Parts: sequence; C-alpha cells; structure tokens
Amino acid sequence: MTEADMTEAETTEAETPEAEVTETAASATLEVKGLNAFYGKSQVVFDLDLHVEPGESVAVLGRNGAGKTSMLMAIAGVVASRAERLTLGGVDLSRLPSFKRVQAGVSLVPSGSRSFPNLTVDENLSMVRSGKQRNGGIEWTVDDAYKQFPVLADLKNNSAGTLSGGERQMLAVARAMVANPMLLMLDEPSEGLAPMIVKGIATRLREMAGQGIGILMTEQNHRLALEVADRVYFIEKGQSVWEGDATAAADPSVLSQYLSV
Amino acid sequence: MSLGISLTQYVIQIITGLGEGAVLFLVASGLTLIFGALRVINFAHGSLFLLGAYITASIADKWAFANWNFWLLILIGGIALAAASIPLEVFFFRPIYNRALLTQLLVTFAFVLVITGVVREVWGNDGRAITQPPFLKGNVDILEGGVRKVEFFFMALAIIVGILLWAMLYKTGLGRMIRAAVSDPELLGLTGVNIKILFTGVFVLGVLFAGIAGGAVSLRGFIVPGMAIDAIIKAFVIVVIGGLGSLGGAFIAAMLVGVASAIGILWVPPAAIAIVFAVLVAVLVLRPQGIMGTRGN
Ligand SMILES: Nc1ncnc2c1ncn2[C@@H]1O[C@H](COP(=O)(O)OP(=O)(O)O)[C@@H](O)[C@H]1O
Ligand SMILES: [Mg+2]
Repeated sequence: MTEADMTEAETTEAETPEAEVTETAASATLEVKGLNAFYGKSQVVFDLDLHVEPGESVAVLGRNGAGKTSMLMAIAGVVASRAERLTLGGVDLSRLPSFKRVQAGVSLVPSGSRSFPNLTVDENLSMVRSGKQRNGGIEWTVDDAYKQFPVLADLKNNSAGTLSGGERQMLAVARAMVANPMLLMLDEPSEGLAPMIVKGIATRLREMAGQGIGILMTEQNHRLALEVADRVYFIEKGQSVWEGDATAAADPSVLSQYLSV
Repeated sequence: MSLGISLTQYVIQIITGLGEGAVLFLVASGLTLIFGALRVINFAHGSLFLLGAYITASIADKWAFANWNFWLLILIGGIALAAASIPLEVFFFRPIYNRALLTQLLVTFAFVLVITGVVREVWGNDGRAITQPPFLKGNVDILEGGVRKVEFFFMALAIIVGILLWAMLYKTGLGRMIRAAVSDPELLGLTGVNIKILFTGVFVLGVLFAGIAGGAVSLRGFIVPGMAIDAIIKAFVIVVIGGLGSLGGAFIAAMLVGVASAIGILWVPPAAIAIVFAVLVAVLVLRPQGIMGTRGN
C-alpha cells in the first residue's frame, strides 16, 4: 500500500515468446494513457497507464473492488471513460461506441461465463460479428472453434443454458475467438472453474497470444494469470500501483502486499 | 349451466371468441416482442393499435376496401404507423429502457392519453363505420345462427402472421439477435451488434403488428376509441398467461382470453372482463410461470 512502490520494477518489453509463427493475426498494440472511468459522477479508475503489445499477455491483478472490471468495461466502451490516449494499433477507440470497438478488434469476455442461454451453442457462436478486415491475418471460423473445443462440437445443438460452468466458459472463449480480435480481454476467466478447465483455457490463450493477439486479463486469484501472463499490473482503488514481469509478480511478498485481504 | 342459453349460442360465441383471440394475438405478439427485448412495458401499445385502425379506415375512405386490395391497405396502414413510431422510440422510449418501472409506466401512459386524445379529436368520440370488402360482408351460417365472416379472416391472418414471426425469430440472423437481446443485451453489444438500431427495429416491428391488428379490426366495419383500453388490458393478460416473451404461449393464451370473454358476454354481459381475469388467476395458480414460460425467467 505504500506509495513508494509506484516506482515500479523495470518493464521488460521486447520479450515476445513464440517469435516465429507462420500464421499470425494482424497485430496491434493497445495503448492506454491517463484512463479515467466513471459511473455517473463517481469515478472508479484514475489516470491509469497501460499497454499490451501484439502477442503479449498482460494480467491486471487486484483485490475485489479495485476497479479491474470497470477498467476493462471502459476500454470496451461499456462504462463511461475519459483518456488522454486510448488506441489500438493507432486507431483511436475513445470516440467509438462499444459495438464499433468490437469491429476495431477489441473483444471482451465478461466475468461469469456469460452466454445467451436461450440460444443453442451453435447460434451463440455463429452470431458473433467477426472483425473481418484483418489484412493478412488468420481468421478463425466457427469450425475452428469446434476443433479447439471438441466438447462444444458435441453440444452444438443444445441450448447454452444447459451447459456446465466449465463448458460455458469454453463457449465464452470460443465466442471471443471467432470474433477474431486483435486484443482479447478476459475478466476473471478462471473464476469458479475446476483446475482442469482452467488449464485447457490457459493453453488456448497461450496459442492465441502465439498468433500475435494481445491478451489483457484480470484476476483476483493469480493462479491462471501468472501461468499465462508475461507482464503484470497490480491496481488498488482504481490506480496502478505496481508493474513488472510475471516472475517478479509471483514473488510471495509482492502477492501478499497487493492481493491479501 | 344452461341459463336458458342454447348450444347454438355457445358454439357461435366460441367461434367468435377465437376470431377475437386472433386479433388479440396480433396485438399481444407485438407487445411481448417489445417487452422481451427492450424490457419496457408499453401501455401505449393498445393506443397504437387503435391509431392503426383509424389510419387504415382513413386509407379505406380514399381507396375503398375491395376484395383484391384490402390486405394491401392494411399493410400500408401498418407500415405508416410503424414509420411514425420511429421518432417515438428514438426520443421517448430509448431514454427509459433502463429506468424504473414507474418511470416507464408514466411515460408510456402519457402516450395513451396523447394518442387517444388525438384519435378523439381527429375522428370523433362515437366510433365510425367502414365499408367492408364485399367478400367479408355477412355471416357464415352455423347451426341455427351465424358467425361474421371476418372472424374467420382474423384466424387465418393470425396463423399466417404467427408462422412468419416464428420463422423470423428462429430462422433468420435478425431473429437470433432479437432472441439474444432478450437474454443479455449488454453481452450482445460486446458481440459487436449495434443495440440502439436493433432496439429501434424491434420497437418498430412490434408497432407494425399493432398497426396490422388495428387495420384488420377495421374490416369488421365499425371501430370505436374504447378499443384501445380493451385491447391493452387483454393483451397484458395474454402476455402474462402465455409466459413472458413466449410466442406459442401468447397464441394459446390469446385464444383462451378471446373465448373466455366471448362466453363471459353470454353469461354476464357487463362483467365479461371479469371472466378474463378469472382465467388469469386460474392459470397463474396452476402455472405461475405462464403456459409456455420457463421458471425463473
Ligand atoms: N454499476 C456500478 N455503479 C456504481 N459503482 C460501481 C458499479 N460497478 C462497480 N462499481 C464500483 O466501482 C468500483 C470498482 O469496481 P469493479 O470495477 O467491479 O472492481 P473489481 O472488478 O476490481 O472487483 C467499486 O468501488 C464498485 O463498488
Ligand atoms: Mg470484477
């Protein structure tokens, strides 16, 4: 909680894990500078700086109520925000309504494994508006999603409301995948899921990052985050208080300082 | 329970009630569509139905209902009403979607007063007669009595419109989006769908159904301003009995309500609406979620 910790550890950047993948998504950097988010008059995110490079996985960790969800929702355009800079691949997102941000390549998997329970699994996937105009990039189709998540292929014609928690989260990730984002954001993707399922999802996320997609995820529980992330931010009361690489973040003293209640 | 009422009278009332139920289904399907996707309880829906009837009647004054054009005139009336409802959605409904029920009630009720006022001002209080298309004049003989031919037309129309609406909802991309909006509009926005435009579209579609129902009713040859309140009360009962947002449920419930009020007219003419509420209570006691509703929705 000491302000002194804001003098953060060195940010090691040029550390792209799978450097040579043959097929890559069109790549784009997310740049956030001075982000403020509001619910009506009450401000919940303050002057936040953050960036996610193509192919990089970034985790934002913090206690319950720290502002993680609000931050993602602000980037997605669902929560009102003001920023000095909010761009993806140089494209200014700040003026776009949320549905246009999706088309610009931002995809958010909200917390709670949400899907459309009254639609079938197949309808859930086939209704996604893919940001098609990815010149030169790979493009995932619904069939590719079924290959990645064979369980879903078997449940194709079942209504999503009948799926288990793990299956619903796979569906949520599959939906994000077929949207072909350049930036994939996930809000507490491991929340309430069995370790086996979390492992599977971690693998998918690493593959997507390997194809050049930037990943920005939040967690209260650092298990999945530290397994997938290259870089970590800790936030408290809507402000960034620590930034560094995942190995440094995994240090028990760091974790206990920013996450223990 | 004869009360001196003959079997013939019962049969005729039941068939007439099915015709009435068919009209109510058209009104209620628009209402349930709007409620399901936009989560707004639109008390003005019955008034829009009324306005649709008067607009179509005025169109029929100009061109006269004939055997070949009546459906076209009804469609034109419905589309005119739907087009006029676009600014209504954009300026008055859009701001109240996420507001408290009481706010929605006040705003939509204001439109009940405004629309009914306009109808009474422009077309008068006493109702008006319309010349029917020749082939819909008169009765179909049944036992020792007769049922108006138009009632059978209403039944056919309800079945056709019901099938089209079902196909739209379950077989098209637009329908998929509407069903997705029913369960989670925020998630739909995060999927890249322009919710504002979609909602305007759903609202306009719901109003189109009200307009077509109104136009169809004018084929009976007589319309009165009081139709608005009668239609909205019954349509609400239908939406609740049928299960919120359920099309099949609305169809069955509409027939039930149509027949119940027709029988009610036979038993206790001034209190026929009480029979409708008795049906409502009975259904909700037996199935609180409505005929086709799913629990917890
Ligand atoms: N819809 C809302 N309206 C008003 N305040 C909210 C809303 N959602 C969250 N908040 C407040 O914003 C702050 C940050 O919440 P949130 O972003 O959900 O944190 P986290 O995701 O880190 O748990 C909290 O103080 C919370 O009470
Ligand atoms: Mg949260």
